[in-house]
Amino acid sequence: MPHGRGLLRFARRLATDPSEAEDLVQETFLLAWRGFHQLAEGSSARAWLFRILINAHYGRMRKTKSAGTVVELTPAIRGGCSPASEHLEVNQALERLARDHRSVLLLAVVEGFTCREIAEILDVPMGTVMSRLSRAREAMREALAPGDARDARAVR
Amino acid sequence: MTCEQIRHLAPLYRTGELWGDQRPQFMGHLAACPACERELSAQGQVDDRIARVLASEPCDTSRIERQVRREIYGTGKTRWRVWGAIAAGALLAIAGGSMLWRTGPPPSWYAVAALDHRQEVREGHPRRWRVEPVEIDQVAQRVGMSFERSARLAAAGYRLERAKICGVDGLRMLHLVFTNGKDRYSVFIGQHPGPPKGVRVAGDGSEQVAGLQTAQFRAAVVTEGSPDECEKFARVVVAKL
Repeated sequence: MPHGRGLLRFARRLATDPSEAEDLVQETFLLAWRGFHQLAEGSSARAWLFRILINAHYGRMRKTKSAGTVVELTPAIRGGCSPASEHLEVNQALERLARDHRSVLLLAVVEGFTCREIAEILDVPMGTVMSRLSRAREAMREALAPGDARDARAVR
Repeated sequence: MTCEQIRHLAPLYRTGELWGDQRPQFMGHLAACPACERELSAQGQVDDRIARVLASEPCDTSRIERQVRREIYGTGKTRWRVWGAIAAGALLAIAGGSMLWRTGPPPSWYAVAALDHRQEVREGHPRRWRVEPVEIDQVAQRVGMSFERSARLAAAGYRLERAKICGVDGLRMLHLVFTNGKDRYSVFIGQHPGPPKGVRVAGDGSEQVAGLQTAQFRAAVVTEGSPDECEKFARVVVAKL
């Protein structure tokens, strides 16, 4: 399934549990299939799929009236992660990021999209993407600094 | 460039989006500013760590793929239901003494053509249809047809409305839709050389499929009308193909 792994990886950070993440990816492919005529020739199908996924996620949030709540990532991520400490540290740090910052960071760092593509996927100005990316990187860097990592382990 | 500008442009540097003079100026500042160089290097290490951790997560999408295929193509139970319905229709026709049926069940691609017609014509699922003669001609050429040749396949009172390319059981086929302004029927045509065979009709209750084989093409007509009407439309295709 083209781009399925990337979409699922990203969906796990949006959804509240592994099955919801899978449902989200499934919904994304079905929406893409039904709306294939809307994909402009020459445009990136991958970016289009991520945009569909994000819109589907927002649609679900509106339905469940959960917009603005803090998304607990751990259950979804535990479904697919090894218990290695590095995984826990990184995932805990990601969990503490604001959702908008986390999305931008994952799209850039993990999925390899450019700032321009991310701006189109999220339908926000490019300057917003740049500032969110900078803040997300800074927050991750602080969270993953050796001292913070020890604190995180002590809390756990 | 100042350190502040470097911080502002750092995301574009990471994603390779610095343009024009920005890149040499950016690189020039880094070469001369150890603080900014350290800052970017540290960011890069964090990026690498995040990417490494997330990329190493198991991501099994097979279950999702099965669900999506089941929804889209009706594989598994759905397709089996269509196939079963056609087989059941064949048995009923044989039991009723109909001479439309030859021995054995109809080929599986009948069911696929019927499903395509149902979803794409009857239920109107969005597809990239070609409606202009020039565009139809372009897609028709892909199976050795043309717009003129396709338009001639219309039954009396009908006209060619739209066309697209699709896959039917592994064979690339031209999907033509004909309309009289009220009703529609589909004609599927694919290059498939073989000994010519007569028209054979099968139905599942809602769609009728009339398959045929010419020396050059495999074709099928799918209607929502009676088996007789479906066979009549297929005879037009045989005569003009």
